[in-house]
Amino acid sequence: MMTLRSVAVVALFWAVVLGATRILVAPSETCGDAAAPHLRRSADSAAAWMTRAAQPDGSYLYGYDRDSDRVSLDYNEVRHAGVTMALYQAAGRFDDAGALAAADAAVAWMEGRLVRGEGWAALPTPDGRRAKLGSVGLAVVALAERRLATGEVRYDALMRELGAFIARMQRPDGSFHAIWLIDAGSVDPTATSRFYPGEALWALALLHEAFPGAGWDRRARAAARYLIEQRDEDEMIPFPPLPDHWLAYGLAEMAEWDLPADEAFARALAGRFGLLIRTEAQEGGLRPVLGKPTRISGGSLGVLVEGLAALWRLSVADPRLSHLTPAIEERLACGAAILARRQAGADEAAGSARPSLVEGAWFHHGETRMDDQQHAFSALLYAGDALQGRAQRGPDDLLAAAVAADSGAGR
Amino acid sequence: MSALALLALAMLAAVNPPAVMLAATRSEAPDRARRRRLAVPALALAVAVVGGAALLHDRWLDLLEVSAASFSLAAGIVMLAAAIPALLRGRTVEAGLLATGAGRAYAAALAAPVPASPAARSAAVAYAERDGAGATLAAAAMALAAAAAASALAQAPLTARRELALALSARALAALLVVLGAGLAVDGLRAV
Repeated sequence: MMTLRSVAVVALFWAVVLGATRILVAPSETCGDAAAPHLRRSADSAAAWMTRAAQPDGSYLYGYDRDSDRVSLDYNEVRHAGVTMALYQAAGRFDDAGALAAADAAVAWMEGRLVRGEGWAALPTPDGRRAKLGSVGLAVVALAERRLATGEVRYDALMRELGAFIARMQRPDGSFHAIWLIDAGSVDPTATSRFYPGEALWALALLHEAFPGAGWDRRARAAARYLIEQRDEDEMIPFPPLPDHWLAYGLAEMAEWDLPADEAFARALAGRFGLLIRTEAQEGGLRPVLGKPTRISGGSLGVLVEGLAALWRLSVADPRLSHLTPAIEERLACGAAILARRQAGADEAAGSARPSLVEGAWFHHGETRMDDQQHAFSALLYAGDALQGRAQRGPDDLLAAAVAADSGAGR
Repeated sequence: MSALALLALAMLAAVNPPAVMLAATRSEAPDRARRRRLAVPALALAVAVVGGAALLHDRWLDLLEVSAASFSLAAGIVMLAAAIPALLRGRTVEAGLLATGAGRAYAAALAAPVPASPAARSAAVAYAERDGAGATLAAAAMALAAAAAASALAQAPLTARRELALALSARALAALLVVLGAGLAVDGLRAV
């Protein structure tokens, strides 16, 4: 009959369209528990992993494969600086003296390796041949975090030296050289990096916060303008904007400076972080079809949440972006909950060969790397802040251990 | 143009009254007197279906466990899927259901799957999430009333000129639906 045939055609058409859309484009999104105590416990556990990863020489355990029970012998000085930064954040916000001690040892490790030029200092690669803009940027951020946590100024001179290296690497248009060739005593003219400039921007912004009036803000503004207006084109980003969490940190730090960031850019960047977090919540969709893993690593998810949390602070500070705040909070809750859900807990660690390297970590294909914990920690910390309406990124009070040490030294 | 007028235009594109009118004039469809009698109950049912989708938009999202942004992307794709056949053929995928000859089947088709198609329902949920349920419900009611009127007033057989005008109108609304579907999909991609 005509009726049945027509009905069948329509039903088949919509079954295919709706089914494919559901499976490939909008599968269900699973987040988890984003309650503040839950996120705090997760962040605590990540900080404890990083503290345990500190080695006697001031370096960190770089990575661990729990399936083969092997630790990685690789090392990366950019990630060293990044983990140190996260430990200082933990020290300041959680009054964690253990984290402070581990981070201080890591700073000593960096100090012992510095190369210096005319007024500048930089952290070389393990082979001693190059110095990366990114490692210096994150070293500045780490020391700025220490300053916020302790109120101490003992590393101010080093911060300025590292800042001078960043300034040396900056071009007149605000962009940066990525690599310094130590033997040649010159920049590598061909090297580029997608993320080092954002790290340098955040460092410049924090240098201005620490040492106002020294001109760091002028450099930070130029860097921000370049990153917003030109970087994606120069780096040939296929789907701009690049989800650069470091840029987001920098913009949030500069929120009260009359930013060059227009609303459209900030909205686009927030949208990119949001889309990627939503996709992660789906754990499926197009990824298997495209041959990609259904889950990204803890570090990769962490940077998305970090970036969005920074934009939350920006949206709270900048009235032009306030309409984004509720949506950002919704997505942050989801991203942070996923992070907490995927973290290895004590039960999971108990059954492993080295429980201390498993508990509090995020594993991807059986492996964890120190920056997985670094990014996930910062993400949980700042997402938790946003969900509780806390717009101040730094600690409320100086670290008790530092205050005690200061008063002890004064006696 | 006001927000409500834009929303009404969007719902008109999703419902596509000219395509309904074209289908209602097929020789197998009921006669005009019967179509007039069927118009009001069919309209009521269609408004209940599409309006219900708009009013319960958040429940739909909860039921599907998707964020509003992901739904917007999906709704855009569903609208595109509905629009492309209409653009190519001058009638919607569901319009054939109207030309069944049986009164009850016609009424059922006029109520639910034809104007109140999955595309219209998806659009209702997505727009209700974005622009509010009340405005979306009002816009949907206008568009569905236009579809019911198109069914009731359609006079068979059509002159060639009128048929051409209706086919062009249906295609124009389908083209608009392509634009709106793409817009919703892009909104979904860009949303936080």
